[in-house]
Amino acid sequence: MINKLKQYQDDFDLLISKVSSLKELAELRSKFLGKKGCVSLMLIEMRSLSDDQKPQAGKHINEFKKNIATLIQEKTQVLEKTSDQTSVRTEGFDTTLPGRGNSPGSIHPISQIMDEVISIFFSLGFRVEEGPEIESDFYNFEALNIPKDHPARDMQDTFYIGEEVLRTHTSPVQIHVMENQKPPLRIIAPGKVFRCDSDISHTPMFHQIEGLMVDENLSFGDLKGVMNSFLYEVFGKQTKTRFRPSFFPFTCPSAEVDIECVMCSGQGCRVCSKTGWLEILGCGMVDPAVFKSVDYDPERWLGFAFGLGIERIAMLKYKINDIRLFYNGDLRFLDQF
Amino acid sequence: MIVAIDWLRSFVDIEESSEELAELLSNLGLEAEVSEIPNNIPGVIIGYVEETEKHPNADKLQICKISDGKNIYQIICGAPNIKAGQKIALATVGSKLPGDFIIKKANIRGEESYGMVCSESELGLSDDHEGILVLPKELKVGENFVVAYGYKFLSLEIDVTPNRPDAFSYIGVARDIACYKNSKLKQVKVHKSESSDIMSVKISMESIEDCPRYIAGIVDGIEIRESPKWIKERLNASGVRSINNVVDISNYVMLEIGHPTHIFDFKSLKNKEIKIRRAELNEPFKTLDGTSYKLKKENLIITDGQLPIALAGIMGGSNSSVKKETTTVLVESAYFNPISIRKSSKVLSLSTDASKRFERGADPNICEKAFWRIINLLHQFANGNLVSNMIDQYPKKIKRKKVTLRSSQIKSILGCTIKRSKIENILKGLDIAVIKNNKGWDCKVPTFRPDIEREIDLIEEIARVHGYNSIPVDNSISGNYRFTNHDPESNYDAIRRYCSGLGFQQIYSNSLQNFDTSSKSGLNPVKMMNPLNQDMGYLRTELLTGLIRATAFNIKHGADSFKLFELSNVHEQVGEALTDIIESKHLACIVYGKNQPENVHSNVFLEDFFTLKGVLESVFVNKFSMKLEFVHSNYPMLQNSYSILLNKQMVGYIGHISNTLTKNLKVNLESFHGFYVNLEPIKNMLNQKKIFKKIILFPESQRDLNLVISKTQNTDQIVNLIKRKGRKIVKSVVPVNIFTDPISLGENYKSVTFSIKFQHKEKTLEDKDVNPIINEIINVAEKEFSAKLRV
Repeated sequence: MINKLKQYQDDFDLLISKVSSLKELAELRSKFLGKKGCVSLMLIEMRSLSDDQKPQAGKHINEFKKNIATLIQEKTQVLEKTSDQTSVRTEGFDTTLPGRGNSPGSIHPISQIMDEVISIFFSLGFRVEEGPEIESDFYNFEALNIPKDHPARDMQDTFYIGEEVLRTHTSPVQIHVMENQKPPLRIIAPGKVFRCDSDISHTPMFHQIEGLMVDENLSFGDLKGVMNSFLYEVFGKQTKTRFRPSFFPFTCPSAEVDIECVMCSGQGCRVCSKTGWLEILGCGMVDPAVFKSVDYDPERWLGFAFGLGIERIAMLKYKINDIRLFYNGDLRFLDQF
Repeated sequence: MIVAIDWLRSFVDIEESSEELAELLSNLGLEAEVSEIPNNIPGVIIGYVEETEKHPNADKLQICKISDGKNIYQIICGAPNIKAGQKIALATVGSKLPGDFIIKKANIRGEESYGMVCSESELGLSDDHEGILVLPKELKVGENFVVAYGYKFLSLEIDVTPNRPDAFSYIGVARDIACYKNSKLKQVKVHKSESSDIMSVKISMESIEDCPRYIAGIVDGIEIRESPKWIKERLNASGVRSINNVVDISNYVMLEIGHPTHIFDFKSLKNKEIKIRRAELNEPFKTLDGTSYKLKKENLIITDGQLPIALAGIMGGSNSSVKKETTTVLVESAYFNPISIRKSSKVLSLSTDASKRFERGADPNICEKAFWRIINLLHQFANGNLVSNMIDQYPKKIKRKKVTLRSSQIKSILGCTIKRSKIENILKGLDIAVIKNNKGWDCKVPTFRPDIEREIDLIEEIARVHGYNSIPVDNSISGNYRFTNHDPESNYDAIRRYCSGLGFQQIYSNSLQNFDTSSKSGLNPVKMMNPLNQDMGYLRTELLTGLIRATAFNIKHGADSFKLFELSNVHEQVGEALTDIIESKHLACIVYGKNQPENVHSNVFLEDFFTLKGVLESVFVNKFSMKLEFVHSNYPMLQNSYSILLNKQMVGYIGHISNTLTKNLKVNLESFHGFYVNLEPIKNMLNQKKIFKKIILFPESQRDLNLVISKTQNTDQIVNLIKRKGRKIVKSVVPVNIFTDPISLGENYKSVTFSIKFQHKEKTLEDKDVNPIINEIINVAEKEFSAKLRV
């Protein structure tokens, strides 16, 4: 019995040394440890032994079994390792070749800024409202306290389509919303606007976001708070802002908001005309005349409104120097966004 | 409005630098920028021309000996007006002139030159470069030019908003500064000379609505000459050209106290009377700048009883203008209705310094002061004497407006409390009379502030003088808030994201096009009444032309393959009425060139119809679960075009971009495809709620079916047949291979491999489940499509 086991051990040692794959190892394993393998045969043979020989034989068989199981386990680990390495092609495999597939497209910077601005105001509880690009004189001007034959009309060069106009701002959306909804309100109105004006920094078509908040206890201080929060979010927490009195017929008091010039950090450069400040948006408390035109009680409701140019923000944020780049579909420009 | 700081000092004390003053005014709502004239021109000093002699080698040059009080410099000068005995601005070697121009020692045609004698334009004072600037004799030689003289030209450019007619004058700007600094405003003083009735003129107005007030007086003994130097300098520094003493005086008073006046040559008046009326239609009139107009009913005119002598509040006539020989003048100081003047100015497209002030609202109650100021100055600087009374037609006096101001409202609007004394100081500083009452104040607003009519306007005044930056920020954003997360754009955002994910680049193109381009679609474009130019006279009716334009642009700049999209509004004029306009949101995509860059991994092919169909499927079928179909049709912008149907609705077209649109572009038509989709009809379907479908746990079983069918047979009919006969266990059918071979299949046939996936909700499929279905499909396909099984 002992001799037989020794013979098996020698056979196993020889065989396992020749094994070079996991498949061969599996065969070897079944030959020795399988249902019809040597160990099973030995255990069957053991039954014919006398009772006093059995424990001794059993012990030897178990040791043998344990031993070869361990050896197979060790060999398995070795083979697994080498098989991982050999299965990867190493020679002539050029990882420096370009990857497969196309580059993704892009969303236009105007849309991106628009989305960014919208999401900032979303987080302040504002929601989006829209209106048509062609408006009546009433919505674009009259209801916003810009009567006919008022010099304020000169502030916005208007394209006329018969009695209608191409909206010069998205402010008419304010009126549509207030006509149809009761206060309190927090809305923003993004969209295309048109002005009869064209030079290096103006195009006849551009994009605006107009905002309106109406509530019972709103003050100029709240307006400053909301404008600052917005500007810090877009241009960074360290941005300095200043509020200057200005004139818009639909707000009173009206303000223009400047941020410290992003090009020269307020030192004074060509972009900011050496003032160190850049005009970024217009805003103000809603003029009581506007509330009257939509039947809101100006003694009860207070509100503020603001308007900003998307192109202007995109130009300052991305340091784009020519507004026309937005509209000619130049891939060398679009690829960068 | 250009404000010379030196002149401004006559009305208010100013210690600030130009920059500080500009900031101070900007913070008061008078947006100011320091104009280009430099604060400091290093190296430029006052020089004295000792002698000049002709340059031996150049006819037009002079060799000048110029003294700075210590040394004599030789300077070569080409200006014709340089003469010995003049004081001039001398730029010594090393001077830095505006525009960073540095003066160096030079040799000009064999003669050394140690500097330059400056003209106004070289010093940045004006555009005048005709000859050198000759300075007043009393200046001290050797002194710094800016300190001694140039400071007079330091100025600010103020962008006056339309609500502030009062700020169109030195006194108005000074009032704001004085109010802000709580310092004294030095008013212009006039004295009323003794009236006389040697001469007179009759004044009548057709309408006191148009012309509420008209003051006139006659001045005799006028001598027309140059204005004194200080008037010329002040006008010049304010951007107004000097003409002669009389015209200059009128301009001077307009700048000084903001009221436009007009001075007529009295002898040119046919009748010694003034009648203010509306013009007759086509009444001819020639303004003093020589332009002839045919007037309209909107034009308010001053007549001598018959003929027009001035466009009221805008410009005088050439027939009555002050000339060299003028000795007697009629001085007009009137107040015209702002709306009348604006209409009159608009209808002629003629805007002047006077009309700008009248249409914003001049002060009816300053007419008298302006009149006397003119009379005083004419006496002083033109030798003129008033030979008539001050004839004042003012039938209905315009009074100061009364406005009540509640202190509670100031707090509520501004969100902070301002001391009562400060409020009163601000109002008084603006010439607003205040009387306390139990809630606040009763205010009387001066007539030079027509913009202040209501309580809120007074609050704005208080806020702006108090300083917007002194109002505390409230970061609480308190208030009532309704939670709604409605964004009508959000579905469009999804479309934009899908398209860019598919490799398309978003563009924005101009909504404004010419007629030809905007009508390419066959639709009627919306026409603008006042386009910027011919190329932008209409609104676009579709987006493809913009994409084609961008394609041409990019090809020109070297791109050979790209995919573009735009998502924007388009407009169509649908009916006769101007208001019959439809605005729709469109999506348009184009593909051009190769599907991917040349590469080692796979073959490159030209983009085609199926790239675009893939986009429609990805976006509308996969993401929005719509049904997509095409119907062959005729769209003028596309060749081989198909209508796009989404959920049975016709929403757009797809096809080759027509070569009629690309004639002038270097475009390979084979690969240039496009589509547009009108999103309006399907807008509501973009908002579908997604509902999770249970994942089937039983395995799929896959079979290939090769059918030989007619070459003209569309595969989708076979696909539909397979689905129909699939007894609800066919999960998908995809044609995966098309094979043609004239020899084995015949000229008119193709073999199509359909990959069919079966799956049952409740069990694992076996051959006995699938085989009968396959057999039935083959049978029906044979009958309906003459298909044969290929083995």
